[in-house]
Amino acid sequence: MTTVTILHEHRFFLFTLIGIGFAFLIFNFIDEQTALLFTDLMFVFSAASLVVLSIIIATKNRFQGFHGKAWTFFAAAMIFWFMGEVIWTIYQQVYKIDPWPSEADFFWLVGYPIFFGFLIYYQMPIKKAISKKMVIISTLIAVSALASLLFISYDENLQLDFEYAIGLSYPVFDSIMLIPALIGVFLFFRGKVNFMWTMVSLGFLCFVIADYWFLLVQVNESYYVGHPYDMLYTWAYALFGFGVYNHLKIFQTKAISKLDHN
Amino acid sequence: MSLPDDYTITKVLVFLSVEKALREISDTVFEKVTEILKEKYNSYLYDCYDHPEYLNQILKDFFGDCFGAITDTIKKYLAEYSNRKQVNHFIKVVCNK
Repeated sequence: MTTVTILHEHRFFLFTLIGIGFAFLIFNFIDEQTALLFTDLMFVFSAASLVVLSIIIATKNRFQGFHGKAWTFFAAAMIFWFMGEVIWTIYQQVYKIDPWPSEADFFWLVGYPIFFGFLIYYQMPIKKAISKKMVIISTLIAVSALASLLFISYDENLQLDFEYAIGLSYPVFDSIMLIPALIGVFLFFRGKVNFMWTMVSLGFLCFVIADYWFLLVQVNESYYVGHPYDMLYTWAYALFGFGVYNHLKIFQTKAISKLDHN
Repeated sequence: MSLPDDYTITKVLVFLSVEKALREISDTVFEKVTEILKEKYNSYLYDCYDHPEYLNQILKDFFGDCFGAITDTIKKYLAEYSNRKQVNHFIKVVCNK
């Protein structure tokens, strides 16, 4: 399969990503308030779509087997992240107060270890294919990324308070989860099931970059909701969504398997 | 009623081991493999004992680079029967890269 064929096959997906990027730039061009409203709605809408898709895939897998359990974890993580998005939007759009830090962070942070469960369970059937070299390289990349971020964001005048601790929790969690995500990238290089994994890995990478960036802009206080970099979070949800949708399509089964038992 | 012959017993053992290995990943993977077997080769999982190359191709298409890890699981479940010549042949063909 050539690159052109792959791009053609997933053209709708590519247009969506480009469309999201353009929308963020256009709304930012109009004014900050419009960008804020658009961003909040995009986050809630994309997270809600993902909750629906993840519940469908978890139900289809009947919560059994390694993948069944993995998808249950995935759905639970998406529900927690969706709750985080809803709380953030309510604070911002209804109460008109700064939601950072807030209860939304609790839901986002709890979602991380659950998502870690998804990454681990999904790789369980192929654990024999995971070499020590893969684990070491992934760990080194994750630790280096975190160390670089801490070095860049370090400021001696910085107040090491609760807000900073919450902000720091995201890249720390990201770095931990980057390890199984990178192992996944090494493993799922070919094969039909790889598209989902590629999408989930790329989506997660978007989250990691966005969270790292978030910490940096929080430190120099240049962040505002609707900032063009927020498109990374929407891209992450979109990538997850396309991956899950594609996986659902592959695993759409007919009644044939039932005949196998008769 | 006569007892099943060695061929039938081995065939059932292989079928059950492959089913167990696939279901360990997930029921949907098991169902998808059986569905492709029917659609592409007009066969059932039970027939894979006679045509292990079908299963080999489907697993390769599906799992790509992780194919080896999946066949390792099948091998693990068939290990106690691997002294049977036919089971050995089945493992060899299914695991063929």
